[in-house]
Amino acid sequence: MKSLRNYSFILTFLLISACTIEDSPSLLTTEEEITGQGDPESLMVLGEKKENPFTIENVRSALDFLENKYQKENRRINCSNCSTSLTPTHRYVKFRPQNYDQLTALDLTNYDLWDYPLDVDVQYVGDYYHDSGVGQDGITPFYTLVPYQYPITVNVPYDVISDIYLYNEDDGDIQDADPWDPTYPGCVDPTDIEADCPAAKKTLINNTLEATKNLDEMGIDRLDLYNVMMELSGNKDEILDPTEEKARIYSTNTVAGTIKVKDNSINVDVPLKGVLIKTRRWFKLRRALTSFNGQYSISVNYRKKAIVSVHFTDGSKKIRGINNVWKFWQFAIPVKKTIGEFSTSQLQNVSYTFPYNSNPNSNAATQWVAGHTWNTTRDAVYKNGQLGINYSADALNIWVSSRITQNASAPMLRTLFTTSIISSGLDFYLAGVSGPIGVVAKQILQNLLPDITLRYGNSSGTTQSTSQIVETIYHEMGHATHNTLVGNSYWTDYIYYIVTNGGYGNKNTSGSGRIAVAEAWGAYIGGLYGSMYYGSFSGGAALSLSNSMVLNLENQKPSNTSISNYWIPRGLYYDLTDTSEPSSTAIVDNVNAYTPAMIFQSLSSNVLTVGQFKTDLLARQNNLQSTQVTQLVQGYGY
Amino acid sequence: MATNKNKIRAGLITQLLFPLILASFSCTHNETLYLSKEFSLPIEITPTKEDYKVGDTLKIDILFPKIIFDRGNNVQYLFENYDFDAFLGIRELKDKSKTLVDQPGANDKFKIINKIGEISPFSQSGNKIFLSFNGTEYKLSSNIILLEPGIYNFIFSTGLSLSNAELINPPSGYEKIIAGVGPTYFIVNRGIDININLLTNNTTTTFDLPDSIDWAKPVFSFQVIE
Repeated sequence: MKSLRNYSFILTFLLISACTIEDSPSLLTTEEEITGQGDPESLMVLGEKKENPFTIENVRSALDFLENKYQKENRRINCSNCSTSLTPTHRYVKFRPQNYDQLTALDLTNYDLWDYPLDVDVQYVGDYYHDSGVGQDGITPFYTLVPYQYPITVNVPYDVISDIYLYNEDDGDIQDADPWDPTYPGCVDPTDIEADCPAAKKTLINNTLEATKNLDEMGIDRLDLYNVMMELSGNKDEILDPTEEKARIYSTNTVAGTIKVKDNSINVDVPLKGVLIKTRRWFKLRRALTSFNGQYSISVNYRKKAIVSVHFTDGSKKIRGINNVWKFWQFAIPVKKTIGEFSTSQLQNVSYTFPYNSNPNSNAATQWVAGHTWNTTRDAVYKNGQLGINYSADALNIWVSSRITQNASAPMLRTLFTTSIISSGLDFYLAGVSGPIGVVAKQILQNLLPDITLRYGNSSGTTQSTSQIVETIYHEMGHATHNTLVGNSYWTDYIYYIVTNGGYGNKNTSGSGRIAVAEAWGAYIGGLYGSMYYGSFSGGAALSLSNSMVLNLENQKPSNTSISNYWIPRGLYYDLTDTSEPSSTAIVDNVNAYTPAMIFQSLSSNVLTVGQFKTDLLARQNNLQSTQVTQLVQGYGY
Repeated sequence: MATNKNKIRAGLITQLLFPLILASFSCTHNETLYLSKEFSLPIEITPTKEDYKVGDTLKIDILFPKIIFDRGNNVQYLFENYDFDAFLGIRELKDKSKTLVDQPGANDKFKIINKIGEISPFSQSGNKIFLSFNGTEYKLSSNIILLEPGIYNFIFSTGLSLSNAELINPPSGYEKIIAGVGPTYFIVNRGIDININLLTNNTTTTFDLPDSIDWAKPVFSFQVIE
């Protein structure tokens, strides 16, 4: 018996030891293992709820207190019973969406939404907060400020938590703008002098500035009032040093920094252009878009720690994600990253670079992919302009997902009118997404119809590299550009074809000509713009990618029918612009006089086959290199 | 008595089962480990100089084993019968206002003689590289005869989307390990003797990043004179 017990003990010891001793220890570093496992959901943890010092009731009490104090000190002010003249500047509102229709309606208001209360301490700064009160699968409430005179019309249950009074406590020359404005599409930052948003500037609601002016006219010291408000509400640690000089030392006039995203294909951090930066402390909410070099600068005084976050939206273009680790409601909210909570000295340089994460089912991977997707959609519009391709629409709903949806696509469903096609398109995109996630994803997608989708998980299981994402998004933006040329009817038939054939079909499928013409354009733009993009960087890695992308276009042998979709002439448009090919490709390419803009013009809605494309091209361009064009198109089997 | 015996037996069984149960929980993360590692693949181009004469021969050799360390020398991957989807671009550097990739293709200015593996032209600038795999090593050996004067560049690329390989010495405790192959580039002549000056002087392409960032050196430029 004893020996058996000993054996048991030894076995236990050996088994425990076996977990830590390896015959051939891995050479992976701890950091590599941690990164390779991905990050958790990164949920925010809240701390103590604070008594809100900004409620109209508290501000009135503070003003009464101050008025008495001034009277005792024989200090002259320009009002009596001053607090009676105060009216709230904003309502602090909690929205409680009960279903995904309401959630998406709320998102579409472009309110400055926060998924955690604004009057609560943050214990751990995560990317998202989920209110345990709504249960694991419920939709978390959202909080915002609405100017007092502005009606709330969105059909979502809400509570007005309190009417509040906001003003600039700062006595300096920084005049903080109002934290809320009715956002116009494409104009999320109406104070940005570079933004083209005159309508938003005109209607900017300045309740905060008016309240500040009002207090000044009364003769009230705003810093005094602020400190009394904090004292009465029990937030003594928020009281500011009354000496102006010291208060200035411990405040910041600007929150600034640079946001970048790691291009892991060339090992370079590239600026994230035009994304939304939000900052907050208490109810002091600010936002701005990053510039072309990824920099942002927000004029605001934070006297203590403030939170800074990045959001993949500019009010019109939004990137949302579907991710295995997220709560369902997160699908409806543009992808975001909370950079952290920073002290006043740190706030003057809050910079962040989104890192690559090899685990596609991680929060970090979705954020990183959103970064490159964001930049590439912007750059595609710029490159269109460079090449004379007319494309103006930039309001896009973009969905990125790990491995749970179909491949990348540009269904442009928002532009379609046929309900059954839209539904079929969504089913096709979500094919294979089973269980609750599929049901919820469809509900949300029905309200936020995708224009462009990207599945960023490799077939091998890891997150794609930057170069793959860049080429794919350029490809899809090629389709989005084409969509603006051909219109809804063409695109409805295009989507119908793909849905009914479960993809591209084959060369003999009725209607395949449209696929050949349109997909060749996507491939051309993906390879051409991708090559141009990497060609603009310095160094060998970028050159290698630029070379590879353009050679991929040229490396098509249409006679090799063993290659899937061999009949889509993905090299045709490039061959119209380059010089000759060797005989091994069986393509006679003596055409070189065409430009991308000329080719694009001939992709109009009545061009439904490769033959029609050739006819249209020659007609528009006065039969330029006519014989050679015919030879080239024949080489592609048309 | 029987009851006592049963109790003792049950206790012993418990003692024996305990470590087994413990083992079933303690050694597995129940997780997948996702890796994406970078690799560099060596190429030798000889003889190494800047100027050659028409009729000279450049020798291109690729040789590396199927098990190689990643770029950071941290892990080893096994590449068994692997498709690196490799390309060679050959261009003449004629227009100083354009990037390397926008320079005209120059396949017709050379004659390629393949010995092991194959360099196979498919466009004016593009060539597919087929490496020979003998079960332990990947090889290419080709001679390129220079036919016309000019300033030229060779640039080598791998595919954008490479499939997984196998991690040697994987760490224990993971249900599954995905050994992804991330950015992978060729390095010509160990990054030395590749005549970068000819490239930067005759195109808009620049090479001003430090080697710690831009570790890929997939190019070789040279001049052919009469």
